[in-house]
This record gives sequence, C-alpha cells and structure tokens, in this order.
Amino acid sequence: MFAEKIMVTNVITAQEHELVGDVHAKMNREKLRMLPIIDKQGLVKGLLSTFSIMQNIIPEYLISGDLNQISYAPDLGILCKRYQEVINGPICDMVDTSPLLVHKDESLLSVAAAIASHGKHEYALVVDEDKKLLGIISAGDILNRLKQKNSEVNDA
Amino acid sequence: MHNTSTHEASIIFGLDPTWVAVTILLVVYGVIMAEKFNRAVLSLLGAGLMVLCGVITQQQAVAGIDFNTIGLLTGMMVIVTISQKTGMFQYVAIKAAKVVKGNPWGILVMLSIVTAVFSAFLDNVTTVLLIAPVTLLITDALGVRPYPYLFAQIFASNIGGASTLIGDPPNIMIGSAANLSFTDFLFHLTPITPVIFLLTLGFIWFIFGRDLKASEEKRALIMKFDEDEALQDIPLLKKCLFVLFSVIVGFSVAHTFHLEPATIAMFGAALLLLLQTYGEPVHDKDHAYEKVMADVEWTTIFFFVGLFIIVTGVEHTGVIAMLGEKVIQLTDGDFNATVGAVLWVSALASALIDNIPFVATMIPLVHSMAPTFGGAEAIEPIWWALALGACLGGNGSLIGASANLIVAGFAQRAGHPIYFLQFMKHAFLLMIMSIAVSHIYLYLRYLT
Repeated sequence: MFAEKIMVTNVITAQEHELVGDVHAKMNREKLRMLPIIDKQGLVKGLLSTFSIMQNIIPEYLISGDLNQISYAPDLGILCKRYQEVINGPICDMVDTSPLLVHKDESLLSVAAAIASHGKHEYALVVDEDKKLLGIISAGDILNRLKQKNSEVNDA
Repeated sequence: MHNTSTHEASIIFGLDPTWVAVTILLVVYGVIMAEKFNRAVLSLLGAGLMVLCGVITQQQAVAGIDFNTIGLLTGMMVIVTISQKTGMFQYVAIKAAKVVKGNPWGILVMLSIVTAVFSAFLDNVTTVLLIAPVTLLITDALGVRPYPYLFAQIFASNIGGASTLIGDPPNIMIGSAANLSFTDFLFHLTPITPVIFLLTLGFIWFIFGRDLKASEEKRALIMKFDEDEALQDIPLLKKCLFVLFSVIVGFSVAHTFHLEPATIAMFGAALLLLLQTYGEPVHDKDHAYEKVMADVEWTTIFFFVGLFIIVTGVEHTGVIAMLGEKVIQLTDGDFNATVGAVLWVSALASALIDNIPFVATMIPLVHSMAPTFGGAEAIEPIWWALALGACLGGNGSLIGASANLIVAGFAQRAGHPIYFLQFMKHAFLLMIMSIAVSHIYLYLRYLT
C-alpha cells in the first residue's frame, strides 16, 4: 500500500509571513493541531503546531535550564504577557523547518516506521521530488487504514 | 633547550621538539579562544599530535594525566547530577527570597550568598544553571531588571568557587599538583573570600542597588512561591545530603589518612549511585545509572585529559622550566615580587582566556620555581596567588569563566542580553579591586 492511497489531499496550509494570531485562529476554526507551512509555489517550508506556539510563549529560561519543574511558582502573568507579544509576530520563528517528509510511493510500513522514529510529530507530509506538498498522513490515518484492512480480512 | 635525557620518543622529521610542542600548544589555545570548535576535541587533537609528532611517548602522555583531578571532577559531577533532581537548589533559592520578604535588594544579596555557598562546594556552572532560571523567574515576578542579579551571581559563583579546593577546576588542579588538601584551602583561601564578597556586594549596591524597587503587590507575589513544592524526591534528598555531608567531611580528613580527594569523590559518587535506586528493580537501576552517566560532562573531562597531555609535552621539552627561570630573572629572584606577578598575570590572563588551560600551563612553571625559593613548602604562597588570580580573574570579562557565559546565555534567552563591554565596564574594575585585596591579604599573611 502506497502513501498516496492513504494521504489526505485537501490540506489546509499557511505561509511563513502570516501572523501567529491569524494562523492560530485558522487552526481553531478548522479544529487542527498543526499546519504545513508552504511558500507561494507550494513547496514545503516547515510545519507549525499548537505545541510549538505554546513552547514559544513559555520563557526559554524555564525550559532550557536544569529546572525539573516549577510547580512552586504562582501564575505570574508571564504567559498572558508573552502571548500578547507573540500573536502579533510572524510564524517564521516558531516553524519546525525539518518536518517528516515522505514520498507518495513509499509503503505504509515505511511511513509508519518513519513517523514512529521521527518522534517530533504524529504527521508525515507527502511531497514530490521538488518538495511540493501533495498531502498529509497522520498516525490516526494509518491506524484507520489498518482497522479497515482488518475488517476486510475478517469479513472475507 | 629540551631535556634529551628523558626524551625517549623519536621526534618527527628531526624537528626541534621544543618548537613542535610550543606550536601545538599555541595553536590549540588559539583555536580554543576562537570558540569555533569543541574545546575537548581540540585538546585531544593537540594531545594526539604531541604523541604522533614524537614529542612524548604514549606512556609519558598517560603518565602526564592528573587522574586525581579527573577523578575528583567526575565524582563531583555524578553527585551533583543526582542531587539536582531533588530540587534542593530551587528550594534554597526560593526560601532565601522569601526570608527577605521579597525585598529586591535583599533578594539580590540572598541569591548571591546562595550562589557563593553552592559554588564553594559544587561546580560553578551547575550552580548557575540551577540558580539563574529561578532568579529570572523571581525578577519577572518583581518586575525588575534581571541584569544586576545576574551580574552579582557571576561574581558570587567565581568568588565562592575560589574559596575551596573543590569550588573551581583551577583549585582542583592546583590542589592536586601541589599536594594541598581541602583543609589547606579552607585555612588559606576561605578567610579572604568573604571579605572580597562583601566588598563586591557593596560596590554592586552603589552601581545598581539603589534603583532596585518593587511594589508591595509584586513583593506579595514572591511570598506566594511555595518552596516545599520544589522538593521532588524527599528520600533521594536525604540520601544526597548524607553523601554530600560525608564527602565534605571526607575531604576534610583525607589528608590525615593519606587519601586523595579523588578517592573520596569517586567513592561518594558510587555510594550515591547505589543508594539512589536501592531496592528498585534491576532494569530501573540500570536505566538510572545510564541517565546519570549521560548527564556527566564528559566534554569537560576529556578536555582536561587532552590538556594535561599537551602541557606534559611542553613541560617535557624543558621550555616551561626555562620560562620559570625567566620569571624569576624578571623579578630579580624576589619572592614577594614573584607572588605579586603570578597573582596579577593570572588574573589578567584569566579575564581574557579560559583559566583551565592557563592554570594547566602555570602549574609546571610554578613547580620549577621551587628550588630557587627553598623547596616545595616555601612556594605555597605562589600557589595561593595562582588560585586567587585564576579564579577571581574570571570575573573580569564575560568570557573569563564558563559560569559567566552560561548566565549570559540565560539572560539572552530571557530577552535581557548582557553585552560584553557593558559587563566589562563594571566587572573589570571589580575584578581589579578583588585582586588588589587578595594582594594585600597575601602580603600581610605570607610576605611580611
């Protein structure tokens, strides 16, 4: 089974110059947790997730040092202040520029193994030779296809 | 020039081993200063070249590694790696901030004291890695500029580190090379460091202290921090405190029992590794050991290994002994002038270059002065001058010590970058003050 047979093709995307607030609103509207980021030619530039937006809102000194946790700190209002600062900036600073890319002729096994070993997201972006976005496959899509195959075998 | 009687390696292309060794040393130090490559890789490459070029044999290279320094550093790194998981450093920092009721200047003083005390017994870099993020959190809560706090912490970590044998790598190297014990450092260096610390805080008050103000509302926010929540693993905390206390007692009595500090530190590390997962399944124990080992700063350890071999190579050619003679000639064989020269040169050099390679080079040089000044015991004040100069000199610039760069990195990420000249404007003067005080101390205690 090839990647192109299970990928979702009507992918909602964003471009690097768009503002964080607008992209976040788009994600909310479409009930999505991530968006592929493409340029004007449709070539993949990266991937933006709600996780990476949140990660950028938290002051870096709290997550890059040797602190195990900060459950001892009250809510200092830092997050609201940072959110206000971040939403009016472009998304380019928080885009993951090395998302998992797979080709349309890769097998289901190959895509599943790639998603599992990549570890950063549960998504693979399907691209052609020029890195033009063709579709997207999530871990859920793979499980659904396996469930469907399993039902077909049992029915037969 | 070189010592042919002990030189058993065959030098490449018949070159002068002195020039080969000095060239390797200077190139490695130069590239380290440029900070374009990993310093451990550079020092190991330099060490390899010393052997490959025939300056020293592999046997001589291995013999040149100070395993007491390596063992002490590794042992303490393991102990600190396990201890930091307990949250005790954050607990103490928050408690300190609450003791002064959220007063901004009081917090600066308390966090500086905490940093200095932890740095005296633990690695400076680890101390600032743990205290600096809490400091930024506190300054965010207070709504004050973090720069004065971070500036004070840099000084506190380097001054605290200067006060004990285990506080700063240069002291570990000096203690091992000169056979000076933990109690020797306590007796000779610890008395002067609180004086320097208090004077430094006084100057920081004049520079920044009067402008540190926070509203009652912000101060109340500090009092809402719950330090008990910082403590993550009370059973492990008890084990860590037991081992840390035992290790410090061990350091204090080691000399009496003819034990090296490395033995104490490595034994303490092994004991804590055993205790941290005692009673847990074998798989969990193995996982915990592997995690601790992964967190040990092997880059620093291998940097030291390479450095010791490079310096052994240079020492082997006799060039360091020659430099020692030159220094004595320059000071006309005057002991007081030599102590002063070592103190000031070490301070100025350590402000601009990494103090670890500098001290590694100075150790054989100071050793070579012993016959002129009446033996190993007579040159003890020179060792104290080297320790004070190298540790306190690190305060002179943002690149003077690893802890400075760590703090600068945090400040940058917090959106409050510390600029090189901005820091140096005050720091260099404060460093000069601390060296002047050290000079007076050395003069009054050993040179009159």
